[in-house]
Amino acid sequence: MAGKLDKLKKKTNSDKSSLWWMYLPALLLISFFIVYPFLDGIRISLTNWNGFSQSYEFIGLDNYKRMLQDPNTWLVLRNTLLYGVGSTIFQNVIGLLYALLLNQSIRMKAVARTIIYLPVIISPLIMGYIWYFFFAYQGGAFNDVLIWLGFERMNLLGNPDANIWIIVMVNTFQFVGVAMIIYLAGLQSISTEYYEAANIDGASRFQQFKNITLPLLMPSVTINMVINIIGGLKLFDVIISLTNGGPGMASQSMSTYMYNLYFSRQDAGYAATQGVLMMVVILIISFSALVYFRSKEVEA
Amino acid sequence: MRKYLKEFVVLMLTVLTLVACGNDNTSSKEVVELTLFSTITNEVEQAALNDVVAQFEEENSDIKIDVNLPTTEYESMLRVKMAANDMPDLFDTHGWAVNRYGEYTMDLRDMDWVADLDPALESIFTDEDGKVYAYPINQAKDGLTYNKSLLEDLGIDVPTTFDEFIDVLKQIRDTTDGEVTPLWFEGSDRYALGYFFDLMSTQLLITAEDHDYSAELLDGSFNWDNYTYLPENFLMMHEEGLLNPDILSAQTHERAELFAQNKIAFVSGTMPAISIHELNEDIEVGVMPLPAIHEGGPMSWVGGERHTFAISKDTQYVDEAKRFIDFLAQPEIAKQLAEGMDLPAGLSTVTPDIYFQEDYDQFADVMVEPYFDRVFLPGGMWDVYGTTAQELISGLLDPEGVSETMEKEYTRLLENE
Repeated sequence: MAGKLDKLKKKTNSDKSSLWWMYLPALLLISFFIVYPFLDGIRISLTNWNGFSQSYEFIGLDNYKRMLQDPNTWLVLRNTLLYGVGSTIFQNVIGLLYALLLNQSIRMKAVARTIIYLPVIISPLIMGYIWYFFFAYQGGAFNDVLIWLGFERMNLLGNPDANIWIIVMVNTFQFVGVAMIIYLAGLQSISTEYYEAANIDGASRFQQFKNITLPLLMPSVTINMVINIIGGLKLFDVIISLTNGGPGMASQSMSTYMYNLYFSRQDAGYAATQGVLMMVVILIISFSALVYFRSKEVEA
Repeated sequence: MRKYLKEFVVLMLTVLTLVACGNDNTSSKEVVELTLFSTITNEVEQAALNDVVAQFEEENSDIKIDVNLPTTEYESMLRVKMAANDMPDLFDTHGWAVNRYGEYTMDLRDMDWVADLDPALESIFTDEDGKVYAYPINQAKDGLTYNKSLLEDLGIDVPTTFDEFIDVLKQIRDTTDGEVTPLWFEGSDRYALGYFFDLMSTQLLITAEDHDYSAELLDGSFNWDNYTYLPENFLMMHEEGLLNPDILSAQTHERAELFAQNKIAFVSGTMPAISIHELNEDIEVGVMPLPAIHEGGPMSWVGGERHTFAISKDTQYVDEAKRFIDFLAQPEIAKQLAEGMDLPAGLSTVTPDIYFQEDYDQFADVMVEPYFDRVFLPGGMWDVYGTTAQELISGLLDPEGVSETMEKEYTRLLENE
């Protein structure tokens, strides 16, 4: 018997050791497309490379010192956090409301779900252009309605205080469908027995939502929060198509600032430095969100 | 039969392989494919280039040209290619033949057309060692493009000084009651604003004898307080309603549309007339040199490289690439291309019939100055021009702040060079 068990253990162990080879393709892809560019980006951030010349110099931490003293760093960081946090809040609140509504037995809910999800499949760059033409000063639908109502035209996209929120709105509009789908899946995994028991105990709908739905929905909240935050912090296409980061630096995010530094300012070394900062910011925020919301999850 | 099936299949495969290997390939000529990248964005200009390429391929059946026109993404794409040292066989240097693309270009000094290079372009395409960096398809001659029909209808003369220019803009604003934008910019593209500042920097800081700061700009001792005049006046123009109210969000595609609707009087730089005439044939478009800023100062054109072709120094197809350049340099082809793009040719022996020729002839005595940023500013300043202009209009910077930012970036980039 012991002999048979040993044989079984050996077979299981050798099965496991053969599994290591299966990681290799994924490891190679990750190494080639993520690890190597990441390490090379750090290397470039220690140089004064202009992005196209074959020669450059190693300048140590000068780019990092410059980054800390550059007022644009704090401006784009603030904008990036607004895009990340702002989009996340709106996407999750509106997504959850959609999911709660469309989880009920109502007519045309499948059609409604499809319509809400459709913007997700459009390229963010195209989505930005669609909304650009909506808000355009000359000939945009928004301003045409304002004129029809007797008001003056508004140049929202050229207004540095307003255009950031336009960008948040467009990003929310595009990806609220994702949040809705994830919340729908979460809602449908909650057993109806809890609601039946709560009804018997006389709990109101709000009480049921607060004490049953929300706690049991936390895994979906975790997923949505993390992916929305990462998506919002990395926002690029919508900014380029709506405002190109302007006027001036007003609506630049860390990703568009990095792009601008590399392709327009011939400052690839400093662009890489901003890229390292962006990675650190995304890591800290997304990891913190993951830990926090995971801690709120409950067992059913 | 079935017993020998395997042997039969092997034999057939062997015979087929031998037949394929023994095939005489000398009857089919090897076709060389050259990659070509150009900054040409306008559809009409693209058609002109594609026509010439088609003619070349017809006469040279052993060469195919893969034409790439990335429009606004050209510079970004070429930067990546430079970084990877993977340049196209033929590429447009668009004003940066020496300063940016120089180390990637082949020396073309031995080509026949060099002797016919327009003297105005010699210092731009040739260095002190005599290396010729690229072949110019055409050359830029920029000033201000204006609605000739509108000015004639309003009885307004072309201004020769900046003060006259401001008066003309005010006159247009008042006479048309806001229906016509006196000076229009596609300001969502910061380079459009930067372009105006770059053009006028020549008039402010170079061309007037008593206000010539070339030496200080080149040795890094320039006092940037002398630049503040430009942002001050640009802000004044904005506050006086002489610019389009949506300057910070207006896009390039609107320019031709609004011009064709008679809603624009002036735009910065030289705009292809054909892009307006496609929409409205009746509008007469003119170009004028930049007005003088200082009393007694001259009007100026600003020009130099516009569209060019350089040969990559690492190309595998040197002969084929040179054959293409030689083809472009033939007088009839050079004329055809220059007329197709409505710009003066790069060769002095070619006189194209272009739309603005009458205006160029009217101001034939006006000097052509090089682009200010290409000569006097370190690489990377072009973006600063545009960003500071946008921040000026949006209230994020005042005119002195613009000069301070320009100085800070100028100093930093100069140290890096």
